[in-house]
Amino acid sequence: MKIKSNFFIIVGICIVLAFVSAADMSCNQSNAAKSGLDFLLVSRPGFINSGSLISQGDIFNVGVHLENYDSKERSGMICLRDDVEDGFGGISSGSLGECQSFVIRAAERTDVKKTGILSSSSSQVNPGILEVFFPSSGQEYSYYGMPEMLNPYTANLYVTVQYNEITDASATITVPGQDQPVMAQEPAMLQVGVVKEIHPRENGYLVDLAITLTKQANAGIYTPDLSRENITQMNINLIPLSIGCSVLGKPFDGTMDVSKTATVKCSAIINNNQAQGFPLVVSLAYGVQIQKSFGFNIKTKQT
Amino acid sequence: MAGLTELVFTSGTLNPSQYYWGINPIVWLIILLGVCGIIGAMLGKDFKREPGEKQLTIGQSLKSAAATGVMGAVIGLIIAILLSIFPIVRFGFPALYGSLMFFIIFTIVGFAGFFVVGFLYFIVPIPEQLKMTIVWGIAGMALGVLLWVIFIAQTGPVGSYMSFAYAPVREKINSFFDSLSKFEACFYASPKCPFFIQWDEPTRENPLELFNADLQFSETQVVSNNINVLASLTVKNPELAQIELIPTCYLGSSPHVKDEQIDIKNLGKYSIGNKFVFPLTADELHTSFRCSRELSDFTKNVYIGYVIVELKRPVILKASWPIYIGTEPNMGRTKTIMSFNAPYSVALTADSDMPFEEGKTYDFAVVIKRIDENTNMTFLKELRIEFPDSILAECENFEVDGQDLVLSNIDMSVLKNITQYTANDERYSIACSMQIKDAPQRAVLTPIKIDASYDVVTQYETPILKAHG
Repeated sequence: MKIKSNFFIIVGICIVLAFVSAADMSCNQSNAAKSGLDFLLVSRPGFINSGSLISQGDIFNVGVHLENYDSKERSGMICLRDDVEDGFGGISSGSLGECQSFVIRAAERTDVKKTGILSSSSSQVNPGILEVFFPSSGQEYSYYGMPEMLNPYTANLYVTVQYNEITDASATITVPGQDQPVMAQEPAMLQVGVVKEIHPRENGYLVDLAITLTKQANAGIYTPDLSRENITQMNINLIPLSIGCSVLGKPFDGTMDVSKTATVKCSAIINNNQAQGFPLVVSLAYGVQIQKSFGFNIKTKQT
Repeated sequence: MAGLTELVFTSGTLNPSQYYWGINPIVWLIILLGVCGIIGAMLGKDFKREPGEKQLTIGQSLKSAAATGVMGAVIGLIIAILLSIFPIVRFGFPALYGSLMFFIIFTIVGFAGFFVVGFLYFIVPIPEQLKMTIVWGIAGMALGVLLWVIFIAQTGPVGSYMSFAYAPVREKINSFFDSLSKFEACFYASPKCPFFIQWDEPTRENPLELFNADLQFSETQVVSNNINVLASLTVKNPELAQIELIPTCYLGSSPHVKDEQIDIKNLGKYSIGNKFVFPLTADELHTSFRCSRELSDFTKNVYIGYVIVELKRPVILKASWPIYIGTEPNMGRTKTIMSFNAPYSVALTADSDMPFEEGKTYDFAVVIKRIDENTNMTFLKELRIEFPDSILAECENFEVDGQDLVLSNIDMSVLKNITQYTANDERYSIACSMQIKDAPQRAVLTPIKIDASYDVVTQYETPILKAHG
């Protein structure tokens, strides 16, 4: 009887511990997983936020609260536009609207150690924070001249953040061996993956690499000058070997279209039979554009 | 009771509106007699007399026919009572005088009909099968006459009274068939099909008009040969600085036939001369007036007709056509939004998807359409369409006023001539086009403002009866 009750106590403690550790892990994971830039609108009186109701003629501002979860400083442009024709006031509806440049500090990572029965160590991220206000001129926005209706007009505010990313991903390609290389890379919008195949040949090996890019978030990828969408510059080196690459059977030109699930196939020849490791370095340079829309309402009739 | 069957009607002649689907009532009678007679005969051919029943003598036949006649009288009386229920509920005690006439007529006709048919049935030596066929055929024809009296006949004492008493029932039946006929358009994929979105009818933000007038009638009996109907007017005017209502009273033989204009008396609060002027207020305003006429040469016991009141008033309509200009994304079509329900809607509509692209020209139409069937537009004071700077627009017969297009001071007969007018749904369409001068890549909301001001006449009517006096 006593054995039975002890058994239930132990099982109960295990269940509680499992829940606690699971909650702890999920908490750590959410912090660890976040990377790149994120933003939302500043919520203050006189500022438009998602779901705001403003009256025609009211003056307002827009504030963007920007957070950087990357471990490097970011600089770029933040742009704001609405979808109301400019003749009715408000914010410019041009291609990107009104833009301001920004520089936001890197995120700080601190190791947190927990002691006691749940002792563990985790990394806490304190993102770099910046608030950008529109209009920058010190003036304020307002809507005017819209036809008066009982129900408010539904409008949208589009916030676009653009920045450039230069990142390296690296792995060691061991020859010979069937173990797959693991890419080491800082968190970034484009993550690099590689699969190797080693083919023995006379006096050496033929190394085939399949390099893929995976977009990590719903962000737009552009060339660094933001002129072409879904294109990144990409440089592949297998030091000190000479490497030849192709995409869909065509010679690789140093750019990659990330909208397609294409793979860059590279080959290098090793003219000796010694076991050795070769560093693979994939360098990427691209522009990131993140856009969010925030719906709000414009009341034109006082009730 | 001597004058009980003396009925006086304001009109005994047929006008085209009394023709059902364009067919003369007499033709309807023939059709109903034929159809009901045939159906009755078809039913009758399956009935047989009891086997062994013998042929009766004349005396026995008369006796049996008399008993059948009594049964017919009872049936006639029951039908008369049933037919009288609706008028009595609708008009109250005065309708009893008209209904008493039914009791007598239907009782006599029921007795006579059953007696004659019964006698023929018992005396004539023709095959049983044929006899039953004839009897049921005649019964069917009698039903046809009854239906004709209720729904078709408009003349004669019974026809006119039934027409008067059952007018609402007939209107409901007609409107049911009218609504059915709208579905016919679906077979031709016509835009009038109710399943299709009516792009020329605006969305209404408020189902009620901000200005609201309601007229209730009382004292609708003719007393001492005088019509003196009290019309109680309730008005809500939460928006306009002031609003003028001009009432006019008529005497009519039906809700849609105005026979003569009659006097307006005792105009109550808010009246100035022959009109009412209501100030802006959030409260309900109440006043009244009387429609009056002395029937000097009138000695009849029962009088039936309609008092019709027309209220003339201005309507100020505000609407917006929320179009998008730009290049992407595709946003389909948008409907005009009317801030409240107006008797006549004004909408801008185009067959093209949005957004409208920079540099391109798009056709669209201004459509004025009747919404409230009891209201008629009498004068279009102004229709102003305000376009933003990014749009260059033109409409047939509109004047240009800066960025606005304006149509002003148009009589309805002129409006019919300068627009594409369709009478069956009282729709006026004006062809327009717009050029998008400049627009961004991404679509932007560019609402077009519509202000319309017009006069309407709204009709209210009440049946009137003379009490026995």
